[in-house]
Amino acid sequence: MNCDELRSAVLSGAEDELTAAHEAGCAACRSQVSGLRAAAESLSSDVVWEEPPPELAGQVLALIGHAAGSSGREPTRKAPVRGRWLTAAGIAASLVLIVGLFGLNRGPVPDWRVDLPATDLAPTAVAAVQGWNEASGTRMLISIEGLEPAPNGFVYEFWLSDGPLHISAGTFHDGGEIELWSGVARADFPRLWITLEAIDEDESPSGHTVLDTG
Amino acid sequence: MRKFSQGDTDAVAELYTSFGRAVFTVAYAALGERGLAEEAVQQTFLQAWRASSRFDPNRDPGPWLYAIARRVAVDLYRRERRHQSADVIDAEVAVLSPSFEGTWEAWQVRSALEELTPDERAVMRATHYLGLSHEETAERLGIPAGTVKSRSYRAHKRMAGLLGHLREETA
Repeated sequence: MNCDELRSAVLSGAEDELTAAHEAGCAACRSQVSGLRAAAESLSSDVVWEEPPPELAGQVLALIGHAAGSSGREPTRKAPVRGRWLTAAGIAASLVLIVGLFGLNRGPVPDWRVDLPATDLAPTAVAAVQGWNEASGTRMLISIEGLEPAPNGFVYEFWLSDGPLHISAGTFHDGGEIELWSGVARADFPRLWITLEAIDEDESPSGHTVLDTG
Repeated sequence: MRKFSQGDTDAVAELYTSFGRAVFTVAYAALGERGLAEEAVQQTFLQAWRASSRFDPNRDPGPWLYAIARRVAVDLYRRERRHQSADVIDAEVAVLSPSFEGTWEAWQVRSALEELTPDERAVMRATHYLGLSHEETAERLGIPAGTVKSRSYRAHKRMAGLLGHLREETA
């Protein structure tokens, strides 16, 4: 048995008297077998066989492409606790409205207005939200200027949050005036923010925040 | 790397193709959760892109990317720990999970697997991860048992050569 055969045997878990004899007389192999045994153990765990989702490559490409097109600085990180994001509640409570579609029965003066400061991902964006508190939820008119259209395969998504609880109020593609509706009360969800989202099955916030009241 | 630092799509895709799985492996090994691992991969490549102008293009980008990936995973781990309990004090957050100890080994093993042909990798997966015998592997993959043995021999020999230095570097 030579050194190559010993190392292969250790990695494949086929050690026997012959490998033991070689190891005992070969200092070079003795220095390597512990690492190879650890590697053999790794090969039987799911860690080294777990595959990233195919769409992750596109998300990385889009993220860097978007950052290269803006300031190039790091974006706000992803929302921390996905598990607490209420998918069903978000879907049930949120509805996107196109401006004029519902012919809003709002008064001329909104109940509240808040600026949405831009993050490093969209440094040229300027945005504000006006809201009308309704019995069944909140109507909002978002005015956004200076926001680049979302790249292909992506949309912007508007969120209302209270700590780790995130409610989506809908998606849109680029700036202008966008009217949104949420079934929750603004007073219960103090944070308003907008993220860039890949169009995929992941319904939680991506963390690529472009505008945020913080 | 020069094209990568410019955000060139092909260069980013090339780097991801070469190292995306290994970065994911490190993140998954450290964090133990796919969603967080995916976030770590995105942050790793973004941070690599931001730092790429300072990277020597003559060097192997693997260890550099590994270092970024591990640091990103540490940050995410601590962030999650803080969110899991408001009572966690900083000293507790500073203590890393034992899962971080094997990340370099996981990187090396995954990188070595990427050096194999898809056929060889399939045999390695069947025998090591699924625990199948050569005969069972042959049946599962629809190839002769002799082919399984020869592929297994070549794969182990190649991986052993690639991983022989593992203990020396982790020690």
